[in-house]
Amino acid sequence: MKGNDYTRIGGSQQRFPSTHWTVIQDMRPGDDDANGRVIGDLLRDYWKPVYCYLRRRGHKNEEAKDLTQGFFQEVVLGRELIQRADPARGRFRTLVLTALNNYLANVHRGQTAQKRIPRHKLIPLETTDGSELPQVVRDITCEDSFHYAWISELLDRMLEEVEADCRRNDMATHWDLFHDRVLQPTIDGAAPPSLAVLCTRYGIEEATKVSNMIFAVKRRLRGALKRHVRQSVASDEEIGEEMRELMQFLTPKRAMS
Amino acid sequence: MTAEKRSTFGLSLNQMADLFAMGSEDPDPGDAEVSDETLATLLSEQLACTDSDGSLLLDTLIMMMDRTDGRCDPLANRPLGKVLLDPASGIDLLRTIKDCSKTLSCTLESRTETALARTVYFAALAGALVHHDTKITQLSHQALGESLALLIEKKWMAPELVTLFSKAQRICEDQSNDA
Repeated sequence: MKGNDYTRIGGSQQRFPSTHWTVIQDMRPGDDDANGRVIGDLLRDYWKPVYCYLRRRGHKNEEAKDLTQGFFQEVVLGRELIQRADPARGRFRTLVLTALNNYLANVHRGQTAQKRIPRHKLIPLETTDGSELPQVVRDITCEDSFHYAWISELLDRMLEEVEADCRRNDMATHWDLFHDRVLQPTIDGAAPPSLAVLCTRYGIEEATKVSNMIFAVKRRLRGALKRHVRQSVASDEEIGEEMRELMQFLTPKRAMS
Repeated sequence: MTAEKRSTFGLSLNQMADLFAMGSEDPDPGDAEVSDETLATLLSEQLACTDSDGSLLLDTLIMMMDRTDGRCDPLANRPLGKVLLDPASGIDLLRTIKDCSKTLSCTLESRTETALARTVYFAALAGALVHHDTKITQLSHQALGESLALLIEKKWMAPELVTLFSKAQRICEDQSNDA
């Protein structure tokens, strides 16, 4: 447990990994094209939480998309976020949410007209189908919906990265075992197949080998999650605290015996 | 996520927590047997953990303790082992550790971590008995003594806990004989 560091597993990046804090600090005034590329990761990580928050606040799909575009154009690309940025004052996602609320207040007051954003400047957003928000999001507060969507994106990236890493490194069966034994049952709320069933399914002789293969995938997940969480905090020392906060958000109160 | 691109968006908080735990907990070999030596090492590490050491088991325990009694620093940055063995640790703190570790042991899937959580549970019971002359469980003295006896025999049990459990077991025997 203590002392094992799997942060190198699954990644071969040699460059110093950027964080959300360093991304906005690297933006250059007036260079929209470069800044657009720079904030690609920010957009990927935050558009859905922003959009979800807006939908949860009652904005319809198209309006929410327009506001999302406007927020990223005017507040993020417009460097307003940089002026507010102070790692000592909390999490980056909290900064984004605060900036979003301020942006919405300004829009409401008419201080920030919803300008027609030139088509060539539109930040391409993943297509949204405009359907209703899932029940779990409708059951929580607007602010919580933002954090929920953020964690969902975090988990999606973690799982995608590790799956791709496994398939790239001749560990496709490792991933499939993990998927069948752990991931799918968790998502479906179903009982996992026994190790014996998996041995038969994948032609593996020993249950211990199946366990060890699943174990190897979990190690990669740990490393991937730490790397992704690291992007959103100001220092390595904050990773553990952030992960505890995120788990605390997700874990409902338990009844004590 | 193998056959098609699926998102976690829409999953319940519990489901998300389970997925998050996959990536945040120290992985154990799953259903494979863990050696006594490994378990002894894991237990020793857990007992030496303080609030800030990032052990998921301890983190989860502390998180549950936070919610129970509202303290933001329940162990006051002391190692868990020291808290359990210290005569000065209050009965309320031991009771909180007992409650939270019991709940935790019932929810963990890993047999290794369940064993560690149960050890912490019984250590809290033993500490309350030895240092406060108070039984903080509904288990009878006889049943508690029997459980402690089993733990004492575990090859992976920490020596300091063996000492504590032995003292508590003697108290249980005395109480059982007096009854």
